[in-house]
Amino acid sequence: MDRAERIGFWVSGIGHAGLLGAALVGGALFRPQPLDAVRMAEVATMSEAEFQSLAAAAAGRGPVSDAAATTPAQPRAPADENLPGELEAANPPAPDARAATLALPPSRPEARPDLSDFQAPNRPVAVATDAPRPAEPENSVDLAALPQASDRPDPARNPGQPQSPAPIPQRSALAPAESSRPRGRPEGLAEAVQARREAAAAARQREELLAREQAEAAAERAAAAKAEQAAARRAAEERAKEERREAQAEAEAARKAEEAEARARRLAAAEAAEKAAAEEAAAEKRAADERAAERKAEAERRAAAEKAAAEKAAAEKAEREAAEAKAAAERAAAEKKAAEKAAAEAKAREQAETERKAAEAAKQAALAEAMQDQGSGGSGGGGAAASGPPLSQGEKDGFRVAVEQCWNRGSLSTEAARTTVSVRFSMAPDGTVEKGSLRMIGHDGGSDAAAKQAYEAARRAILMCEKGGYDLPPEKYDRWKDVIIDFNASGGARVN
Amino acid sequence: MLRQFLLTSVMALSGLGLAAPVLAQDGPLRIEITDGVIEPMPFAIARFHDEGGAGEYLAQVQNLIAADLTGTGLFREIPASAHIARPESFDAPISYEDWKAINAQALITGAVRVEGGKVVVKFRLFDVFAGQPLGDGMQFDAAAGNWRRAAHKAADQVYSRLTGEGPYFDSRVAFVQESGPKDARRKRIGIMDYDGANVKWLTDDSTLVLKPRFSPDGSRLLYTSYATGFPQAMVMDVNTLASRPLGTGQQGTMSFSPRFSPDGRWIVYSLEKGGNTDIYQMDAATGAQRALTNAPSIETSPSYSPDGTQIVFESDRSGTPQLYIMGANGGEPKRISFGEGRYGTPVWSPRGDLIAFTRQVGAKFHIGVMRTDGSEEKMLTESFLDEGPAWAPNGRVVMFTRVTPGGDGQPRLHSVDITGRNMRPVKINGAASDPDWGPLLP
Amino acid sequence: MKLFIKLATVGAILALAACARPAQDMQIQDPYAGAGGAGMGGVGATALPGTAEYFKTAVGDTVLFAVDQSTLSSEARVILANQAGWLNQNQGFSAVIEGHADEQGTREYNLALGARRANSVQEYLVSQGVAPGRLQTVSYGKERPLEICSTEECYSKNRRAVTVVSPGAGM
Repeated sequence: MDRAERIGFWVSGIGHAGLLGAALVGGALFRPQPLDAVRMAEVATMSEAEFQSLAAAAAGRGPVSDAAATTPAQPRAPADENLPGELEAANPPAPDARAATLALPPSRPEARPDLSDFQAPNRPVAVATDAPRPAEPENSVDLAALPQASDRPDPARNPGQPQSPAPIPQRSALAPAESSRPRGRPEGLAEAVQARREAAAAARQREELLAREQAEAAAERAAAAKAEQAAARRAAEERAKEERREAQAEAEAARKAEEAEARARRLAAAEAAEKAAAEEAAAEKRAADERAAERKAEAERRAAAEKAAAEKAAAEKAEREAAEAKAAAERAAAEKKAAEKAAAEAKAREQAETERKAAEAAKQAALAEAMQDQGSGGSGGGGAAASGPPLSQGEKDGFRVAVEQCWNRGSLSTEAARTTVSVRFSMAPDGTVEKGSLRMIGHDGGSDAAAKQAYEAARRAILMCEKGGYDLPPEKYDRWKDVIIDFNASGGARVN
Repeated sequence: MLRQFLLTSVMALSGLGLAAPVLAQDGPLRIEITDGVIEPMPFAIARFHDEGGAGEYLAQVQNLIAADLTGTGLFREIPASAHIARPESFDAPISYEDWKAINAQALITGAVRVEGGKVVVKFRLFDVFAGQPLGDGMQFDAAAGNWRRAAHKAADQVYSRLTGEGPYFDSRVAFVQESGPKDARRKRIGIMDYDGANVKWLTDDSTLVLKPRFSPDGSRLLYTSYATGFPQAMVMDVNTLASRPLGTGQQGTMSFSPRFSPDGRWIVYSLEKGGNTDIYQMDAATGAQRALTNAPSIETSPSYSPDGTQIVFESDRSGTPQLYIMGANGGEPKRISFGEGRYGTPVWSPRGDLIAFTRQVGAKFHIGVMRTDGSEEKMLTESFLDEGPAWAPNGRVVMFTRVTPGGDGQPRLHSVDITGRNMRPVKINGAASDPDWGPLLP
Repeated sequence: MKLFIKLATVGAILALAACARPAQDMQIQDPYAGAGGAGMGGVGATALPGTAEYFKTAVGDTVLFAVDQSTLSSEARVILANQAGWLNQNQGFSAVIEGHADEQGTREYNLALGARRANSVQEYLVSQGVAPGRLQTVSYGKERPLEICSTEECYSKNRRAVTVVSPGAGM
């Protein structure tokens, strides 16, 4: 071959060889890079409602503290997040606690005992030295009837031990055993929540099973106690008695709750209390068994006949408010605060009682001083009592229905009949409306002219159904002295 | 020792107790009311005072005001026999408690006097439960023969102040009176007050006339007449009764269903040519015409929107008569009725928010209203034959024709509130149909 | 004898022929009377063929329509064909075709519907050879019902187009 041909052969040969080589080897040289794996982080989510409900269960009213934000994670297993509605249902210990009690209806998922109305009234109770006595007999009754009760507070601890565990008595004597803030957080939320729930469960059980008897018995016991005590105390107590009685039944329910928790403590700390309790229990049993005899005793006591009548009225009121307290039990930690305060007061009462027999005179003097303080505390309590308890749903509904009946949308232009207006006004303590305070504070869904017509109809509704004053509880006047009513035109209307 | 403990513990607890209410306050009580009642508002008219020569006008004016208000279905009069207080004069102070006691929510006082051939009507309106007057008192005067208008004006004031709706009592209605057997009806055009009073005849019944329609100022009427043997649109001056053809026609065409635009400059009507009916527009001043639709289907019953920018009409281009909207200068029509049955005679409300129509489903007819986009359709009536709605000037009440079935069936005029309530007949003697509600009189 | 038989035969033939004449009239009337048009045949025999009366009664001046329709049924076409025939034979007449509708509809729509029906008839007649200038249409909507009851029986009779002939050359 000549040179040109040879070069040609070489070039093509190299080219072909290169191609073949690349085909053979290139795959190994140019592998695709592996992609970074997509990383996914598991995040436990909960809805806003669930968070708020947990926060409300754990904390007081108002902004939720960080502690409350973090602690719910503890008892809450992720699997439980989907349980709707029931606050405690998400917490594993609760069902156990409930199961341990007697015949508790599981229908009330309340985080705490219904002590919403107890805050203020507890204060007078705290000072009264007779209060511990009613509390103690209940303890003894509970002990006798429900031997398991002592297990309730501490299922996480050793069940079956009637003695309370050591830690609690070690606290400062001055510190409330149950503080108004979530108790036991530093120690562990589960126990605290359990304890509270058990207290609530216990309170509920007792209310449902023994509420009336105990309320009456407690009232009568208190009456009996007072009859035995100095007349000076009676005079002073009359003043505060109504408030106390109102809260007595509720306080007792709460007290029972806390007493369940603190019973073991009390037992360990106060044998004398037990003795007195036993004595009182006997007296109570007699009283409970023989109402007629007690009525005779009442007749005897009728030296203070007014008191008896007042007490009976207060007992009914206590029953009513026990029912209210049941409803209120669904509210936030203010009730817990009251419960804890009541427990603290009960504890103080117990301690007073232990010393009572030893130092009757000293107690009376202390009472006298305490009454003075109670006077100051009572006024605070009294003021709080007038505004403290929020209006019950029934009272709100009654007010709403009263105004509804006069809200006539038939004589409005079609545009005004579609317009929603909000009306604000003030009321006098007797339930009458202060006309000058009526004003429209907002409207929606129509022009200004239509809103004006709708406001006129709303104002007429408020004024026409006033009829001498709306039926709202005067003792809660602070709650309803300022009212805003939203007249929502999207609702229905009865055609007459 | 114990005492100290007790004191300190009590004081501590009291302090906590004092703190509690601060935490518990959360503002005024707020409740929401969604349910109310719908019932006529009870009102009272105190006996009017005769301030000079009122004579029988006194009771008539007072009764007419009460009848106007009660006729709306929104008010209920508390009869004079139930009144406790009787104000001694038109300017006497009002004792609201007396009126609250009989549950009157509104109180009307008034006075009438006649001077120099004029009737003067004064009134005041009071909001009883607010304890104050509602608006200013007013006075209206009218020639003696027009006393009803003064009373209607007073009632209009009361109505608007209490409901917020526009007034409509001082208005007139044009209609067709029918007489004779059903297969040989004689018809003539009449005009009356909205409540059936003061009827006047505008044509004789020698020729067949149909569907009168007011001009926006109420001075002219458009209608259809068979005077030439063929249906032709005509225009008549209400005051002089002078009438002439609209001038639509070439030979062999029919024109009918004419209506003015809200500014009075244009007239839309249906023109039939060669069997096909389309919508035409004529310049009222020059008579120049042009077609707004051009389709082999029937297009008829046009009606302007109150701002004059759109026309709603009836067309069977989809196979059955339905409602369509197009621009006032023509353009692509948009269908707005989609329910079962046949829709016709659309009329745009003077408020611009609703369109009233006739709907036939099977053997039943309904008067209905719908929003201008066709939504929220609502039937107001149902019967063997309801048709031809006409709007009151305030867009709240609709008047229509109801025909009873059978060989001796008769047409009658009825009115109904757009809420569907308060359907009641218009008090006229004899059979009447084809109402058209004129504007509020100045 | 033979003559008698012949006479009898002739007489029979004449008798038959005499009977035939009414049969001839019946022949003209039968198809129209059976077609459901108005204008029954009973009186027809007395009208003169070239009159409006004859047209109305013998030829049939009315055709009926289905609900909401302006299309011509086959019976209608037969009647109209006869109308056209008569019009073509009687050039001295013009006609106005009236369209009608039943009361189950709104007034203005029914006016337009009647016009459509009249127009259908007019076009058909024109297609059958009638000069368009001799025909006019008008609609009475539901204003002039024939039957006044409120049942379908009456309604069906009201949904009609009536051809009214009158002497005159038309336009």
